[in-house]
Amino acid sequence: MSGRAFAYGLWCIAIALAYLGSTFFAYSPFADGRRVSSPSGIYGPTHK
Amino acid sequence: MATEAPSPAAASVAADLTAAPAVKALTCPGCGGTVTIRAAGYTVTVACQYCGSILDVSTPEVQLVVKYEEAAGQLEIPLGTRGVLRGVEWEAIGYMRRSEHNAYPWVEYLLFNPYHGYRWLVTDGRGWSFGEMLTVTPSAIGTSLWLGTQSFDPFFTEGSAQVDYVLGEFYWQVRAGETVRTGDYVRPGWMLSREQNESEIAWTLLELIDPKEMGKAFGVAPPPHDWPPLPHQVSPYAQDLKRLGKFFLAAAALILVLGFMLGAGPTLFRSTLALQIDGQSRSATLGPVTLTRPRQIVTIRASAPGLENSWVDIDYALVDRKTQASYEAYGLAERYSGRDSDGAWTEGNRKSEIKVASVPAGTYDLVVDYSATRWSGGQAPPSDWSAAGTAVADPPQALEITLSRGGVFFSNVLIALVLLLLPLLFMLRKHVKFEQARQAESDVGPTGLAQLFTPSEDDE
Repeated sequence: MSGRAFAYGLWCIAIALAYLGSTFFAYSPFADGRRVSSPSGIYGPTHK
Repeated sequence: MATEAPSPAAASVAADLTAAPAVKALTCPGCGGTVTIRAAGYTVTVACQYCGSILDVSTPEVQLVVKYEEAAGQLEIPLGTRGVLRGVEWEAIGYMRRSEHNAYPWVEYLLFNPYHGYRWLVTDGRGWSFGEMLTVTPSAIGTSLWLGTQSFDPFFTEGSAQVDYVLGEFYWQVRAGETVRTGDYVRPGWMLSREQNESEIAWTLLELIDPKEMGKAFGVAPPPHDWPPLPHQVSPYAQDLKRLGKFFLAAAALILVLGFMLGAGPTLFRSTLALQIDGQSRSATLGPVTLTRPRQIVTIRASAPGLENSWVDIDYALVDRKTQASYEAYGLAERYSGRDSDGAWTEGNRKSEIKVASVPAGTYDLVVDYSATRWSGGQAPPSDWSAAGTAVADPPQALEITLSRGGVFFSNVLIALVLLLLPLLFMLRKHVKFEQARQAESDVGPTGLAQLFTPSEDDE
């Protein structure tokens, strides 16, 4: 196996692990909804 | 870059080598030096190693054919050097420098083994090829030539090769200025070369030799330059591309299968809200739902099956009862239809699906703020407008809300596939560049991928 093929194999493993990690943590940079951070200095419930 | 055809007598002798020929010494009539013939009995001409004169040794009386004034240069493989190629020990006995009308020069070494006959080593400075003269004629199918099960594509369809300088022993009477017509056909790693004169056609099969193998066999240094590639040079990226393609398929399959398997989850609740299409905002709190995993995707689906020429804005807030942390998202269900000059049309989706990322374990309420509005831009007047032009409230419709744990972020799948593809595309680009450079001087133009990515003259 050439160095290029070996390096790409490692790259594939890294991408697959990163994808499985994102699945495990339920993360996506393009999710429709995510946690809304409270503006600083405002306390109490944030929902209606 | 094939060899000149041997004379019939010499060819028949070469084809029937059963015993080692004797080494013979003679005196050069040009300078008086002692010239050793290593393939005595087969060699027709020999060049004196001292003065470079070409001698005819086919008869007992050695005759001076041509006397070259220039001294024999320092050869990359000195004549008499022995080396093992393909398991056979060969001795370099002849050297010939050739060109196409003094352009594109290359050199050919004649190798000899008493039990295996003659072979050629050919180089133009970019690599070495090991050639064997064929005793069969390749068959032509279409524009390609076939030798057994191997096909060769045309590369140089019509050229010429002249002898510029010669040194050593040969099995025919070679002279400087001798010219033959040539044609070359290639497949990766191999070249099929045709040389033709007035009386005969000779075919030579050349195999590209690894520079390391040549260095080991004859002690030659690696080629000083290897660009542009030789016509029959194998792309260093071709084999890797196949391996990388397999890696890509395996990784993509792993991502898709495991991603969908791990992403599946149960529906936690389903609820139906009354939807009044009046533009008024309403609010409902649904739940509670309990999420047990440390982190999960929450998928919320909304469906308004009776929606027509209206839209529903839906704001979701998934609120943790314990921490009051809020996860918000926006959904839209809409449906429009009408008729224009092209006929009936519809647009929009009565269903909406959103996914909320990284929701931690806990008990949550789903707060839904929604409002439905009628679209008044259609060609047909709304049915709920009275003759006086005042709006009449639509009958209530249903808005079904479903909340599920789990889901698949297709954006993640897409990003992963793109990242997997990037190195592959980079290597494909390098391969195409290599193939374009390799085929740049071909008489038939680029083929395969090089043709696919080379703009045609019509495009320019």
